[in-house]
Amino acid sequence: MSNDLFDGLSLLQDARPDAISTGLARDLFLAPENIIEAARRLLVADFHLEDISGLDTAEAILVNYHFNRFDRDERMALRVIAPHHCPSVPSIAAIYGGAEWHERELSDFFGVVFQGNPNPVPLLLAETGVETPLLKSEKDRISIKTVIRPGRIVHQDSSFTLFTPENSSDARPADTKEAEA
Amino acid sequence: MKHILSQEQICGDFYSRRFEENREEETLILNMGPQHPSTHGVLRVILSLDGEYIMRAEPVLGYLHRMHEAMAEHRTYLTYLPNMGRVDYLHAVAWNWAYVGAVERLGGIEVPTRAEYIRVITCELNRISSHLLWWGAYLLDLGAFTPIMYAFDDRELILDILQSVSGSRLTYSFLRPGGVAFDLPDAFLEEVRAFIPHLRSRLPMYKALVTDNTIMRHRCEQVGDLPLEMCQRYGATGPVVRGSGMAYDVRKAEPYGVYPQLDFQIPVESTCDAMGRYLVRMAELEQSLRILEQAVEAIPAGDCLVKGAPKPRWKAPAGESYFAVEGARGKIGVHLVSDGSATPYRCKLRAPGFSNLSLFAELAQGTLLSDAVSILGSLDLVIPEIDR
Amino acid sequence: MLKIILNPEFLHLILAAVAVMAFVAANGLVLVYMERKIAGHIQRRPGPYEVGWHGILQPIVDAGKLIGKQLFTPDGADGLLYWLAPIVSFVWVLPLFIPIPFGPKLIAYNMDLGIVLILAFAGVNLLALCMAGWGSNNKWSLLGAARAVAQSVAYEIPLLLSIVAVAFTSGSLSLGTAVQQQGGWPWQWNIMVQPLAFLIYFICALAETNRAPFDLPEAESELTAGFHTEYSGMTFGLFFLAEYANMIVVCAVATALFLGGWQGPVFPGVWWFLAKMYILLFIMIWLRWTYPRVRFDQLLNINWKWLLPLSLANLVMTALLTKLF
Repeated sequence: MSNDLFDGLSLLQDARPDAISTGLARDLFLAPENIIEAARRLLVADFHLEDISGLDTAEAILVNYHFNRFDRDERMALRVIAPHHCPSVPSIAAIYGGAEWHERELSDFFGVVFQGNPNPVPLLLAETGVETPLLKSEKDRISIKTVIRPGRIVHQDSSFTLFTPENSSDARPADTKEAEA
Repeated sequence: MKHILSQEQICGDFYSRRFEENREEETLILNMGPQHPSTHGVLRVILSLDGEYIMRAEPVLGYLHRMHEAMAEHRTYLTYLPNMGRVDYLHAVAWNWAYVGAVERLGGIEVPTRAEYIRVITCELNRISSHLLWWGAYLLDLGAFTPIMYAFDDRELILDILQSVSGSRLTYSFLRPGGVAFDLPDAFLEEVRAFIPHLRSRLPMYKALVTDNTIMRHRCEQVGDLPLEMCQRYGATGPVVRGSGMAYDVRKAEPYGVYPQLDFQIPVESTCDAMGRYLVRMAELEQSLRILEQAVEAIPAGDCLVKGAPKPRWKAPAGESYFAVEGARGKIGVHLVSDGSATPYRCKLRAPGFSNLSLFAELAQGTLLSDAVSILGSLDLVIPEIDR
Repeated sequence: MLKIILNPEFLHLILAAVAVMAFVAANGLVLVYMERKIAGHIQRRPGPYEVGWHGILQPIVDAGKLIGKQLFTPDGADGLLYWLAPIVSFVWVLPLFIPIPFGPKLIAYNMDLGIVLILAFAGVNLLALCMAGWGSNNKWSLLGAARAVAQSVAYEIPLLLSIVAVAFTSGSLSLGTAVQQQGGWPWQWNIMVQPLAFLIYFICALAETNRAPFDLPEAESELTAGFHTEYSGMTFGLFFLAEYANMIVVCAVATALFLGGWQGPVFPGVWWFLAKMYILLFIMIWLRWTYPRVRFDQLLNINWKWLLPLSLANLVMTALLTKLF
């Protein structure tokens, strides 16, 4: 486990989900301004970019970055919260060139703006750029807590209250029953 | 350099106008596709050529975009399964597997061993048919018109075998969460046992006719130099990264199904060029035959679908899951998010071709036009999977 | 006036012109069928099968189809160049048949400088390609034409040099003389004396006629259809026929210069000529369906680094040996 990978970087939450049911080894929430530094560290640590996907929830649009390694399976999900009224995230395309297309796809589907993307024109949808097909209507959105199961929370920033016990019945900080992921 | 033509004189659409804004001096802007004999499917690449050298390339996607990810949110888990065959029609069983694997992960569904073996056999047969078509089409791009006919001849046998069990020749919707839809017909294993030596006898002829051909070697060697760090930055997987020296195969890295019990190798080439990727895929044909040999002997009796498999309108438990399989083109990933209802909340399809093609703009700079065609062929692109 | 028309030489020329056109047309049909049948069998399928016995009427219905297609001028194309190109391409091939000795007495016009005529007129095909490429107002055609220019200009030189080497051995630039100096049996043919020249000539012939593996100007998978992208119907048919006519010319010249022409072990005559010509045509078709295409810079490399020095060396050797013995 690369425990020291994000030393010095302020993470909103660092958790070890159940790998069997989620397929993830590590589940991180980051503030948008930290994603570029995190990507830089992951590149140096031989991680490759699997994909960037979006999730429209009641609280915000969640931008999920999936990274993995070539020599063993250690899937990391880095999540960045983009508020609905102003969904803007820094682009990591300068570090991971493949991110350019993933980010453009996300802009098409969710309307998220990636600042610094070298070619911010629609990738898959028409160039008019008005549709956001994967954004759901207000009543159809559900809470992040329903779908994201962080598992054993190793670190949680005090300002990040989405998964504290009073908010969610699922998150179990420092629960020793959770197997070491 | 500002172009000297007025806005009305520049024809083309939004993408070619935008491409021309940063035009270099003395270059020819050429539109390759979306209708073009060698961009497989509807891929469009805008090129800026200086003579025959490519100064800048930009793929333009979306001509085959059908919004599969939105369709997922309006279908139940079972009725969405046929979409997977249409995403990459050449390796439909692998996409089926990625999706049902994600559903099984989410729902904690077990799969009987016999069903696992059936999945392996059909997936490897499908991989062989995909590689054969790639081989024929790649040589068609290079100007040899005959290998595609030979490849299709062999492929017909596989299509007949897979039709006997699944009912479809190309877009299989054969897997189910919890197993497979139908058990094998009586003659199936015998047909597979007869097919293996048949293809083995054809492979030396392909090698002598094509792989050892000087002209073909000159078209592929040292073409499209793709260093490993570039694969890492773009997330390129499959034969693309194995041709650059990294032995990464999802079947070994994130084992699924009964692959841990089967003995096979991962072919790797370290030349980083189109020839390396070509040789990797040809070697994978042999490895798939090895897997088939073992699987047809080791397949047990039993159920082909677990008792209590999801029925129509099955509700998945709330949560998310990510499942990856090794497709013919690379790592296929399905990221499924469920809110506890009968339809998925979000289904993200991670297509290997998407990441593989994204490196083309950087890779094609400074190459010849003929080399660009060779590079595109060596990446083994299927545009429906890229556009989804 | 009447004296000119009734002049036997003039009549002979007119008759020969008509015969040449008939020959080219007939052979064009045969070649179309042959190409598709050979392609089919190499690819393990029967080829044309429906029309007539084993598809023998296929070329005729193909011609009918091509004639029936709509003729149009692309938007922005240069009308004169666009329409002139296929005509020039086809018509200019016909004079090439004049100096070729099909049989002991079957020559349209026995010229002393037959080889010079053939080489000179063969270059005009290039002009037709350029007109097509430029006049189509299509960047793909332009690329195809540009490639054709470089390719043809490059490969003409070793072609010329290998033919001149044979001219040295036969002592004349006339094809009829070249045939008469060879014997009926294979060891008496010029190929025994000039094997390298034959090989170089054949490779250059493939390049001059834009046949695979040198078919870059019309590279289907790279340039859509190269210089004839914008042509359909009979205009395309004319380019097609011109290509086949060119193939016939180069194979006929090879037969005359290297393989003994109409001479044979027994019963010398036009049938030997046709047989040898068709064997060479078969080899050309065979090569097309077997090999991939070379890349453009590799094409030019082959020419400038290999064929040209070799043909020069061959010529010098021939000159030396001819002078010494």
